[in-house]
Amino acid sequence: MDAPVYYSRAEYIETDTGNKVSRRATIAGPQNIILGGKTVIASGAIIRGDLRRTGPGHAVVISLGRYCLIGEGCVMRPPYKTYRGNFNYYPMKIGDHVHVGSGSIVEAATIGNHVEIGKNCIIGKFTIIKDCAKIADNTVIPPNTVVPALALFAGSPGRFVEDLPESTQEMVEAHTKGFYTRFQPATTER
Amino acid sequence: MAPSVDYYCPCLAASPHPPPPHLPSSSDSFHPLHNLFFCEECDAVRCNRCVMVEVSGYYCPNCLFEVPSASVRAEKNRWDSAQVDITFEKPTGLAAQLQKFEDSAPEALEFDRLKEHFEPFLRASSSSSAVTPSSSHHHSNPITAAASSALARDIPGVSKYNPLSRSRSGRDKSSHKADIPDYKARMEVGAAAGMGAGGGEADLEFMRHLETVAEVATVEQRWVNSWVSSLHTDDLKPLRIPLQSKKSKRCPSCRHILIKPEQKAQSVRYKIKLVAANYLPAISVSLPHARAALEMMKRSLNRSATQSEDQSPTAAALLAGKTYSFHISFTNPLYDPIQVRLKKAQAMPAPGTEGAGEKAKRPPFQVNLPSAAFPIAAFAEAWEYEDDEDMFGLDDDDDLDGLGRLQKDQRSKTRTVGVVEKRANVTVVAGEVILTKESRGNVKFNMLVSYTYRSDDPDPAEENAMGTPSRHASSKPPEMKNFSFYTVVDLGTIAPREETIHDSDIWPTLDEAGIMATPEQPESRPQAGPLPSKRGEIGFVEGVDVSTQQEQVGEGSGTAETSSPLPERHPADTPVPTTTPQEPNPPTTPTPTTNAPPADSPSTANPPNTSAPLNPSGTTGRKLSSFLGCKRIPLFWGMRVTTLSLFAFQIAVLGATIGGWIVLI
Repeated sequence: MDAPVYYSRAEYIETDTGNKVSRRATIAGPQNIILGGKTVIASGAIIRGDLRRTGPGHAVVISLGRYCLIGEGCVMRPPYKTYRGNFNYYPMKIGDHVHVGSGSIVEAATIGNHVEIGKNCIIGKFTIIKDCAKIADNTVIPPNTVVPALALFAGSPGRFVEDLPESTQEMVEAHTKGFYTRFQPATTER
Repeated sequence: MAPSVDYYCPCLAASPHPPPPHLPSSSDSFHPLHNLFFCEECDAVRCNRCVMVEVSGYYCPNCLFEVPSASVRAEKNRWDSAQVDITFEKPTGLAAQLQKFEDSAPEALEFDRLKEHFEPFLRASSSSSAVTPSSSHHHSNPITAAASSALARDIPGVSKYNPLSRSRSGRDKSSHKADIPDYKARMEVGAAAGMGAGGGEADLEFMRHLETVAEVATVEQRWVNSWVSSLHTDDLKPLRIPLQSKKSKRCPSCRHILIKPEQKAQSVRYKIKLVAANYLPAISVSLPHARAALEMMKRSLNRSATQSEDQSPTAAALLAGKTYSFHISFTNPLYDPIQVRLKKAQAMPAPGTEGAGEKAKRPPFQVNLPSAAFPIAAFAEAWEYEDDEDMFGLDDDDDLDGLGRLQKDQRSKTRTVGVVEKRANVTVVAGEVILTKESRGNVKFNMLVSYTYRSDDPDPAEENAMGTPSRHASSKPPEMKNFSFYTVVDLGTIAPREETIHDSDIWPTLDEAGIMATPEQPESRPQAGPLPSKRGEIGFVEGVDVSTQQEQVGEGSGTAETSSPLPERHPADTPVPTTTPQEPNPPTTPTPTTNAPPADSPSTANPPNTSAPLNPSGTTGRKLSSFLGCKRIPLFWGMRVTTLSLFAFQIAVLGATIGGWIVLI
């Protein structure tokens, strides 16, 4: 756990707010995406900021908080709905300290702070995940699910398993901050 | 399994000593730190099993609506009735729509009629028994006695179900029993079966004419109700979602509140939060040799960090008969520095059930822990630490990344047991575990951790007795308090020695599906990647077919006689210096060139304008070209004529250009 996580310096772009975005990640519509700062977007991730709702002006499609991690091969898509004959995309808002495991597909509407999503999960459309929740690996969450705070969901379909301990918030915060600190450029070429 | 440390909660047991860790049942008493609470009054650790839990609020898990506790309590004694033939007008507010049907269901109407029938009699009996509510001495707790009398006052007929009242009413009202007229039900008993409430002919007919199994409701769908419901899937009604509760927790002995959540349902903040992580040092254990193996694998294979972590369980296993050192890191959560002392907890001898034979193999390993007390600095915010920038000691100038630091540690760590590192509020100490040859199972041992810290609250008597400042200054030093707790350290499973592995795993095992499982690689050496299969990869042997190379490896790993059964060549070994790509292509594989022989790397990177190649590639050139099947091109000094002629041509063009300029100017 203390070991640094290296990445190739050429592969990641570091912004002035400390975001580290891999060049091999597919970022569509970057002008509609907000990264909170000190967020890592790993290689192979696909973030669809181009799926914006119709309308004038500037729209924020996907907003991420601080110390987030979008794992390798993740797909982040805003949810969509046809309501009264109109088809629209809805914005996706993700809080701070959120780690999304590799290979997950996230179409949630809202994700709170300190959420940990496992690997190969599928989060259905318009899911609301409240703070400090945890989604186990390989979970499939059906659309329109509500994941209450401090809940652990697992299985397919994702069901409530247990309540997480009260100190989950500190644990997840330490984990995400620790990960960002350990995520360092490799000094030697491999 | 990664090494871990769990903390012991005595759970109000009589003896403070933890159970021996190798017993399966003892894992119940050990918890990870973040699941534990700490009671300040009792100075004790509490776990989720021993705390007193109270409900502090209810919420719906689907819509997150916070239900006031008052309405939850009021709704609790509601009569649950079956619903029949319900159609919903809109998709929300199902409960309200169900409510209407509930009230008009046949069972509900039946119950209402029953109530009306018996009400006059119940009122008469309850009024007589309610005359003397104070004489209900059978209630031990005055609170419950008051509650039951209030309940009896509000709801007529409840006092009939009190054990006290029943005896009284039995005595008093036996004469009145004859006065109750017979009750006439609204419908015939047999008609209830027709509604699907019971078994009988109707169910039989239904089963005879089943078309698909899906028409029958499963047991799981039907047993939610406590009465018999219809077998038809079509008769299943949507269920209400049960509310979930937010809990507040108290210490079982002193009833001090440990956890009190905020009023808002979905807020994760707490009014009171006495978790053990704020009082006890966080302990984590790691095996340095495992980390070194991981680093080696990562460097040689250049996989991403996350992938290699998952796939290297065998490289880091503990082998019987060897000695390993482990690092335990302590993180101090208090704002004061603490002194920590470790002690191996003596295993409680089982009462006389062991024979002498068992005793011989009872201690499968021996653990040496640092015996001296070591200090840990106080916790301070991140910006207060001086060496905040390079917390990991990473300097980009010198090569002090993971491998370098490990090497430095190994060189400087002359003593194996003791303090290894002190950084911020974390101290790492090293211990050592010696495994005997016959040891099996998990390496788990109990460890007593005791630490002294300066108490924050001064003695009030001292404060009041503050006379002259000099007297106060020279009064008792700040009180040092001592706290100790038990932990269990689990270092992992012991892997048996290599020969035993080979005997069992040499033949592919068939699992239940009859699929051949590949034989397990012995865990003694870090695993190498796929064999080099083409020219340019390090370790590639030319002139030999790829298949034969793999075959050699397969045989090598299958035989039990060879002591090192892995593929003969590890990428980290110095390879046979036969590989040199002739053309200035970049290496086709991303293998690290640091591990490659130094001769290869410059030649691969440089353009062909350099001097003669560094390797005897005259002979290899023939092999290379023949292997790749390209045209037979004659070679001079190892360079193809084509390359040479191209080079000569370019020089000629350059010379002619320069000559032309000179002539013109």
